Amino acid sequence: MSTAYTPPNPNKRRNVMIAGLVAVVVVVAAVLILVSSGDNESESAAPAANAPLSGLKETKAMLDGIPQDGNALGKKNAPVTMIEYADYQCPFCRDYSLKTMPILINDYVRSGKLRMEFEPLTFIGPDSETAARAGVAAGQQNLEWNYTHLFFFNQGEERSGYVTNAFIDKLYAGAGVNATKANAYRKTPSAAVPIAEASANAQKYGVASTPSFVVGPTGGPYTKLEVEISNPDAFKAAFDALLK
Amino acid sequence: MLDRRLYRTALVLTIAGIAIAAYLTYVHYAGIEPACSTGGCEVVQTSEWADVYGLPVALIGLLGYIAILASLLALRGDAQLFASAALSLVGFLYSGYLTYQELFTIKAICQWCVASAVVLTLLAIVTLWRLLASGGKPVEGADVG
Repeated sequence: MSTAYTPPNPNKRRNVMIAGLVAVVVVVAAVLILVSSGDNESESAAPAANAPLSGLKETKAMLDGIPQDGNALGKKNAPVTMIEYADYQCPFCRDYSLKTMPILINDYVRSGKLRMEFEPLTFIGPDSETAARAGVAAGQQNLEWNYTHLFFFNQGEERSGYVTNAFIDKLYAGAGVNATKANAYRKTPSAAVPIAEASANAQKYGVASTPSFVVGPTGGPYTKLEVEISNPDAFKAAFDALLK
Repeated sequence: MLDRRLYRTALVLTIAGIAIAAYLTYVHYAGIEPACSTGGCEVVQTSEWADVYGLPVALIGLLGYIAILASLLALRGDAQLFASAALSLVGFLYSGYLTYQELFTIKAICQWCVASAVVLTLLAIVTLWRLLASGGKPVEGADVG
């Protein structure tokens, strides 16, 4: 380029080069902008993100009219509390949530006998952490249970990277969560605190798999519940024993 | 000498840009809230425009500023003028687009992002000015500080 100092026709050549520069700049900027605005479409290549959200009706029917407070579902003065330890990516947690849990909520939580709490564990991978933080953020708006139930309805393949911003936004929309607020909150250090606490509590109770449950009179002490997760009657027997 | 002054201004602006982008990149990876008086930084930094295929925009900005600095320090003559102007103009157009999204789509303002957009605007003006004013004459280079 040092030859540019003594070109045969410097002005003309320079003008052509400057015009070329402007053209290259416009093209590069346009590509950057297109790539940015097309970001969400590319992310939605993940299987679950492209599909329409399922479980909207079921989630609404299961939770409507039941009070929520952060990670808790049900009346504060319910005599019995059950805490669930689950990983958002775990397929057994999905099975419990979609098959057994709605029966328990309908029969015990709705009538004020039982309070449920959800504690997220994140051992499967980074998607679990993202999903759990998003759940904690939904809990700030007392909609964690709506988000979590919709999540399980739309759960993708473990460790496939499907828990994208677009996926969470879709769940938030379905759960009625203010996405702007929740998205801001879920990346703050505060969103990680309940996850760390859940992990510590799980260790305390000897939780080695998900979903796991501890149950007891509200306020404690809680003991680990050893039940077949697909059998609602086993859960009911435990609740009834505590309600006597 | 005008070019010397413009060259130094471009260097100072680039270093300021590096500081801003480095801070935002650090905040992104540390998962902490940026110091923010507008209240919108977290919202902007977690919006869908905050990353491109998983690469945070703050990091793209940091790499862009480093490229501008490298062009100013390592290149000479027309190569320096053209490269720094091209990089600054791309940055200016892209940051303009992001600022538009902040104002009209996200409706939240991130002061750090606006500061970076101002730096890129000034850099684009200064580097383009140098390019147009030099008219092929020798320019400041790596031996000037």
